[in-house]
Amino acid sequence: MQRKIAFTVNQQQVEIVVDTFERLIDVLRERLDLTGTKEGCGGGECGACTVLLDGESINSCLVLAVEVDGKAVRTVEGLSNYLELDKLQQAFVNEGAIQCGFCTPGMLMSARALLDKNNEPTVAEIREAISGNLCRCTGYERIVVAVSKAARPASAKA
Amino acid sequence: MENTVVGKSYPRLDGPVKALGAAKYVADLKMPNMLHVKVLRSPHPHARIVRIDSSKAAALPGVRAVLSGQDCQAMLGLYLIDRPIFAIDKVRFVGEPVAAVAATNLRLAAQALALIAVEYELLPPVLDLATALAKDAPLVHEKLHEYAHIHNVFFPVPHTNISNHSKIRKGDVNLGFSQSDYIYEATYRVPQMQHVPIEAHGAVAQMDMTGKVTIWSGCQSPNAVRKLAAVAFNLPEGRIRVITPQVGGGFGGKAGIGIEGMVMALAMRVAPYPVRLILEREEVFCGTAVRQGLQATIKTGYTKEGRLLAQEADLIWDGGAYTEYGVNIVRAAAYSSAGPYDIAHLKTDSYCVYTNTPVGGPFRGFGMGELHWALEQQIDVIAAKLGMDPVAIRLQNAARDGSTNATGEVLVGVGLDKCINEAARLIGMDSISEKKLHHGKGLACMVKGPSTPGTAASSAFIKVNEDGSINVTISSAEIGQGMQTVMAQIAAEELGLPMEMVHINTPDTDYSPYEWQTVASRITYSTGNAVQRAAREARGKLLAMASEKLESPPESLTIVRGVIARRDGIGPTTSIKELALGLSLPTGAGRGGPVMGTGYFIPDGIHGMDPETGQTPKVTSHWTFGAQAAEVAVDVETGKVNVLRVSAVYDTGFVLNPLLALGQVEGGIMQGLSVALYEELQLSQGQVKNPSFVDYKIATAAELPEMLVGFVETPLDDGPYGARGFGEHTMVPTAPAIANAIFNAVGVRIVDLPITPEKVLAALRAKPK
Amino acid sequence: MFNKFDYVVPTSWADACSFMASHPTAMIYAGGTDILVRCREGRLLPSHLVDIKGLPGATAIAQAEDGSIVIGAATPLNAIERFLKGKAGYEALVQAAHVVGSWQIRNRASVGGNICNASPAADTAPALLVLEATLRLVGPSDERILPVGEFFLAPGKTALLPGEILRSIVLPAPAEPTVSIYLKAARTKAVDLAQVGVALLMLPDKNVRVALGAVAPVPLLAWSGRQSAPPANWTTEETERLVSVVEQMVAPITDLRATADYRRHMVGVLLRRAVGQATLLHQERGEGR
Repeated sequence: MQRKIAFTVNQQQVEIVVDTFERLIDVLRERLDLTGTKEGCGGGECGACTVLLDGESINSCLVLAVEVDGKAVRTVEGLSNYLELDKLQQAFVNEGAIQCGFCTPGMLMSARALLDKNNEPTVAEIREAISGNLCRCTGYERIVVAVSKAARPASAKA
Repeated sequence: MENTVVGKSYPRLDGPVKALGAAKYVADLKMPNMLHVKVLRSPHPHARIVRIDSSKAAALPGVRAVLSGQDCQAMLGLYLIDRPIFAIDKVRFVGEPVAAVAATNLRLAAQALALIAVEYELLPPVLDLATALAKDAPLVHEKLHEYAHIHNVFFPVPHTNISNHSKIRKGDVNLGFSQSDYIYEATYRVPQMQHVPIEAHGAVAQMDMTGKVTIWSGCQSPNAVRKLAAVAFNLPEGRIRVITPQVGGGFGGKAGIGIEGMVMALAMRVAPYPVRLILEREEVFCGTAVRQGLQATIKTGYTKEGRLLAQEADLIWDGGAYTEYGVNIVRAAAYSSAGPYDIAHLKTDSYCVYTNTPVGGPFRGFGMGELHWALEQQIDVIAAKLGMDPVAIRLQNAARDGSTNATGEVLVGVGLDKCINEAARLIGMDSISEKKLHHGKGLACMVKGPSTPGTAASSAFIKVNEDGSINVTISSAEIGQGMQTVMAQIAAEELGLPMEMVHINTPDTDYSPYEWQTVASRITYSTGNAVQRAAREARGKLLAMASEKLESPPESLTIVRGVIARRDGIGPTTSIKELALGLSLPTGAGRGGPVMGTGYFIPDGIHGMDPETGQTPKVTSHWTFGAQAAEVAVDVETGKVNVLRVSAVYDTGFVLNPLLALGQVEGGIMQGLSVALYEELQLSQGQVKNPSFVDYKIATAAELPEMLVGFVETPLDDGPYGARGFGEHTMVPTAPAIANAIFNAVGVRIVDLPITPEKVLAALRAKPK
Repeated sequence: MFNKFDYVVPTSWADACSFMASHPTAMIYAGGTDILVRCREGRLLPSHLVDIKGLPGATAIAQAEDGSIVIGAATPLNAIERFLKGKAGYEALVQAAHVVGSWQIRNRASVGGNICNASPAADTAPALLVLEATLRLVGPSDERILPVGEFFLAPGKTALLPGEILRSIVLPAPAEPTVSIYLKAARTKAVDLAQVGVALLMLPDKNVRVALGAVAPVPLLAWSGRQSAPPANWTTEETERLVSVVEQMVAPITDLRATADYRRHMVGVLLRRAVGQATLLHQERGEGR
């Protein structure tokens, strides 16, 4: 059972034939070579596979590829301007929010989704927004700091 | 001279590639005609394999190979060779690999698994320590006495379930008890746990038509994988190449050798096609190494002034079904069993016990988190019994210069008292009596050394490029700890280069020089020394050529941001870039050649332990001490513990990169908090009942306490710039500090991890009113 | 890896119903956050997933003229939270929707899916019970309205008939000033299943409802009746009477998430806290009037 679907990934049009039982994460990683999106559990618990679907953060391991027909997908590869890090990515690097880096793409996408809706989040809001993204290395604190800094460059002291 | 690069906060070098989503981990590698692997795992904790029929699976179109213990008799082991790649003759834990299929796609491989018929004859399982140690217990390994192991270091007890018995006999423990005013004995328990790197274990292997095998593995220790695979498959190391791309977290769970054996066995069967195995999260929980369980009974003799005089410790470790690596955790716990204290009389028996449960292995702290869970509550209890301040009793007994540890080693360069004082100050231990209702503060200390063999070596190779940049080549794995950045800082410091002129690789054993293992918090120390020496060698060559060119003796020269000039600034200059390929003489001739530097390091003078007493002048390269304190609020209605603040202070000798050091400590605190409150492999009949994040919870960002981090810098003689290892240490005292804070808050003591609300409530109910 | 199911997008509710009626192993698909997890584990092997998200009203949430609120069954929990936030009386559902899974999960997970799974621990179920939600069930030939209290039959089992689909959930307009609260006990502070869930609703007329999750085979309306005092004047005795009545109703089990004893204990703890929060809210609102 296959379907032809058309959608955008990072603003590029994609037309592809997918199996009805194929996951979005597999299409991104295996078919489109967008391996920035990671799989950490396959069960929607770790958040490593987080991408934006029409602007909302979702776990791409729990979305069928056929469902994104006509929609817009944004992955970690779509944050930067080619090699130029965006403000959030740069804050992650500068503030020590990255260690092994495996949770980083999903963490960035959750943070991006938050900042797109709320450009002055409180620390509590940041913690909550990323609480569906497990990180075993950093202890989360540097990540929270990085998201705060990316949100408010003016008060960069915080 | 003033340091210009080390000691400064540089963001990690691998930050941008990771932030871009461009970093490649094993699962991101793709090769033409790659085959996919699924593993058939044992459903039984202990059973004889009567028959395996894989003919139907092998006949399925698209299946290229099916392997089981019938086809592959290879055995693995770091310290004790007890682990087959596939179960041979019998299975010893639920989740043990019995067979594996390589097929053209995963779905086919999964279908083929279902076609493998395995007939088992159930054997009585050994599911807990009591059963394992009972007289006439069923044996998990009948042939333990035949297993190869490192003699006089590990002591298997033949025809029992004890795969190692390490002993400490220091002073006269009976005398110590007789001199004591009081004796207190208690038992503490730590369950088996998972490391939970967010990247599941994965490996790809390929054998070319000449028989050379390449393994791409998300592992901590490419050289250990190569060595252990070479032994298992009877191949020379030079015919095995291990490439380690980015690794998505290790914490010990990717140390030694893991799934690589299976993948390699299959690759050798299907050459020249590459085969790939990426574990599912459930397989990580059931099928990879876990933190060993511990039952620790500690008997302490002490004076009425609070001086610890004697300690008898029975450390019984649940090593699981195979203990090829775990035997050394048991040994390390024995020789660290005084903890961070100076105790004159010690008797320790540390046992590694086989059970039919998941395989035990190294876990961040290498037994120290488990050991200190017991020791740091024990001393807290004693303080409470004596009505003493928990900080004061620790300061009174703390190891300091001239103290002897459990092995009789005379300690030097100990900054523990400073760590205790600073951790206490940061959390405000002095205001402990003015606390709010059901709020409490507690402190715990720790010590750990790298528990490596005395021969554990590091090496580094530096080459200077035409643009004046350098490549630092090492085989340590970047598992998130920031090692690459710190190694680059050392090279940059020594060569007078800016950080952006230093490139550093991920390991490839064909091209990068030997590294024992990326474990034991030893990379900054051991590899750091090798890199420093390699850089100094390259610097020496550069300055020799510059000396000729600038007509000034080498010792008059210095390198600043790649420019070589006289220290006094007088005269002409040259640069690393100009000298990279050798010296160009005015005559048009050349001299010297492309500049390289090499360096190696083995810690000096590590001794084996006396088999009967464990006494030795130096059992490990160095010790790192630290202290943490926690402030908690206990909800006495729900039993839930809210960790509000944690302070942590470590004597790291020298902080090479404050930003990355802070990240290590914060990460350790959170892992420690998670282990304290949530984590436990729940086993029923040997089966993991919570093999997913649905029911194996780890701390989320919502749990984040306020973290207060400090460092003490007591230089280590043979550490680079004085630096000591401390990556693992950062989670060791968190759990006991929290437990001690709970006691301070509500007067109950939880001795079995994790500290669940049920346990807290039960303890509150049992508390005398 | 999922089994090889087909994916069906029906053109109408009737179309969806007739498809379901003629395909007994087909399953309704909305957010997928539960169904795909169980497919992955091999616990579900549907022949078809019938995606209802595109059907009329399936993901809509709106207030009707009579003041009631109609929620399309496939509406994601985050959308429900956004819509109901600040609307007096609906606090329990806002709070329940907020504590299901992670932010990512709540962008997909639907309220319909949350209750159609019929998990005893479903967070939104106790909230819907105290709000006296009614369910609009559409079948191949008929449709019916069912009180949510009659929906849950057993763990994993609902009153849905073959071919029948939950189309929407209707929340009647609460009398003012109603206050409702949902409190959840879980192991971690975020992203966890309920060990116990307690929903409480206090009407201005001394009527009180209490519903519980994860302490019985189904989500349970444990109490609905008049108290002797209006919410703002509750005494401790009043609360304790309610707690002891409610505690009689529970039959918890021990599982990986909590012991039966702990669950039983937490019913009382959470209910007392819910009463405390609700009476406080009542007082605040009363003063604001």
